[in-house]
Amino acid sequence: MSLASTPAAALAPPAMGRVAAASWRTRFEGQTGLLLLSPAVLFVTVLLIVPTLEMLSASIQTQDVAGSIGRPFTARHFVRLVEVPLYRDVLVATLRIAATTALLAAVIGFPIAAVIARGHPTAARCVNIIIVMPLVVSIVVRAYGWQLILANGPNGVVNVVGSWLGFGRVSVRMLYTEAAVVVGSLHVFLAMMVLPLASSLARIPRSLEEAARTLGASSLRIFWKVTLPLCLPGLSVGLTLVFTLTASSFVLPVILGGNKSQMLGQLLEQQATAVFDWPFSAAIAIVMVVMIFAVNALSLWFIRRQLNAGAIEAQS
Amino acid sequence: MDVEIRGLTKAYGSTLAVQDLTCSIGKGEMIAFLGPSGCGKTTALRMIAGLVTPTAGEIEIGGRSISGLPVHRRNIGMLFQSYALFPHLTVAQNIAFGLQARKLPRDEIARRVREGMRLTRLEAFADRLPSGLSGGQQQRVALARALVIEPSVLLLDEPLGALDKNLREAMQMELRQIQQRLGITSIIVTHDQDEAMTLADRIVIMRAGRLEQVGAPAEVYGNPRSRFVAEFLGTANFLHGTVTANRDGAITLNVAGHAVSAAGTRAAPGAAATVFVRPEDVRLRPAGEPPAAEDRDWNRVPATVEKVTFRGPVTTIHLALPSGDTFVALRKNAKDRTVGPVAGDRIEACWPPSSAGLLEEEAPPSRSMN
Repeated sequence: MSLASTPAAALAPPAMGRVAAASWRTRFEGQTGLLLLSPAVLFVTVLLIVPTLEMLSASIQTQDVAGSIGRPFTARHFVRLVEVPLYRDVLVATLRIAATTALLAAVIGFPIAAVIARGHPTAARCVNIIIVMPLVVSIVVRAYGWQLILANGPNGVVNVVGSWLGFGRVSVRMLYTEAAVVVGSLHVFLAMMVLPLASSLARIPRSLEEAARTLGASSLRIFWKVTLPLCLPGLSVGLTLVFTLTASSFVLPVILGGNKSQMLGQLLEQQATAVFDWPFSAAIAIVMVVMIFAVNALSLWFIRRQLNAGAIEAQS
Repeated sequence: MDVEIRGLTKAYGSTLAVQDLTCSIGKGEMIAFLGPSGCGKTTALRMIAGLVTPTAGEIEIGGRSISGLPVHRRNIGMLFQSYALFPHLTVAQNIAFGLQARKLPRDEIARRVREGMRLTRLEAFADRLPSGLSGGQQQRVALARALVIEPSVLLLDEPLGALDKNLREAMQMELRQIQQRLGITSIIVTHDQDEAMTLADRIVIMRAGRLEQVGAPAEVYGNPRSRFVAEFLGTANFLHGTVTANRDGAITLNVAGHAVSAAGTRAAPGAAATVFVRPEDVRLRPAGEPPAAEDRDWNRVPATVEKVTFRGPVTTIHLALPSGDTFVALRKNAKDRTVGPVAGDRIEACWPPSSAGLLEEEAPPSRSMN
């Protein structure tokens, strides 16, 4: 029963017709919410839940020579992904690139978040705009931009600048390596780290740091013992977002990583559209999802444990 | 002197938040910086803590200049109005924070944390987080945290401002007891005159960035230098007149045709002067009644009762003088109280000349600071 209609019903007990009307309205209002939700429920069921179940079932079935998927059930595809060195390397590279990007984003993002949260209002606004701006440019355009900058020949922007500075004609060969993917991902996903961090930072009262300072803590100690622990909520959101987005990205590794640094997204695309091995593709997709969930859960657990460990140490 | 402040000045652009503040604080003494908001008292305190860099001036603690020292090397304990407890640390960890920053051995830290919790009666809360404590308890944690580092000076920035009245009074007592037991030199910033008088050995009254008057509470209350001080500490009545005579520290003024005598020396006949009288020194008697023997030489001014307000232990009586000035008298509500005056009564306000003081000539108040 909806709360809003209760007083109306209580106010008019003698008139029977009005009571009936009120109860009808109550029933109707009780269902309004469900009615309003139904498009979303339908949408999610048809386009997310059913396909996911479909994919799950495909990943544990066998594909025959004709290409149709059916019994017997098997775990072969998952085993293959882990056992075949070629595929395992892709899995490990994906984890490595995503983790490196997330950690670098945290290191680079912290000072930027500090400017947004603590800096002069004008500076904060400018930095905020600069950080958010890449989000309005298509990821493909940005990736091609980085391709020009990192190009391995003498015409790459980095190499041109390098030769001005006297490092020789071609000093950096970065394009089509993991490093290029990391650089591109950092640029694209940095906002996802900076924004939650900045809001976390802005919520820490300045008096906490002042108190820590009067108690004899150096700036470094204040950062480790006060600022960072109080930023953990924002930091973990940022790490999770950057890791997830990097691990599941497809465009950036294709354009910047080339063939040498394949990530799971590329492998999945290959298996699904070139090899037509759909059960294996489904297995890769499921591994990607599970892996991302697992790494996020693990990092949250680790952060919490670190916090508690710090607490216990201080007690004894 | 334990703390010496000389010519301390802080300018923000062209505004002087603190201007040429000079005062010294003895070992174990508690000083209150008292003044209205915006008078520079908090800025002065933050300069001593090192959180604000002075524009000019010198601060010495224990004979050593601390001007060049960063905040974390000043060995200062500070309490904030917001308590500023670390929300992610328990009570014990909060108290241990300063000791860990000093890299003391573990058993020494544990011992001092226990001691701090005993002193502030927090033993039962050692493992609680600050969010689970009341405001008074939180400020006690902050006090313990500041005291365990054995600071050379304890700075308190409106520490009890967020507490309600009863709790604040209880905390004042507790704070004062602990401060005196440890003999720790302290400076408290407050805008609450009662708090300043309750807690402090001496009060520094500040106004628009400048020191207005320093002294023990009774001294400043009894002998305010200016109208500002007299009004800021309690209530005061003022009479403006012309000096007619000055004999042996007894001054006579002509106030709207009535002769009023007061204590004071710095007044030449013919000069304009202001006399203040505290409401509790004013007695009321029916108009025209002949003076009794003991109040023969008292000042007396005819007045009309305007308003009578009962306030529990005392009744406040607002009077109108023939000069148009208002006058306030207090009447104790003792058990055997007789019928007091009522509005409209024509009476005489009397007070002994010794309780009336002559204010020093004061410069016109500058409002630019506020």
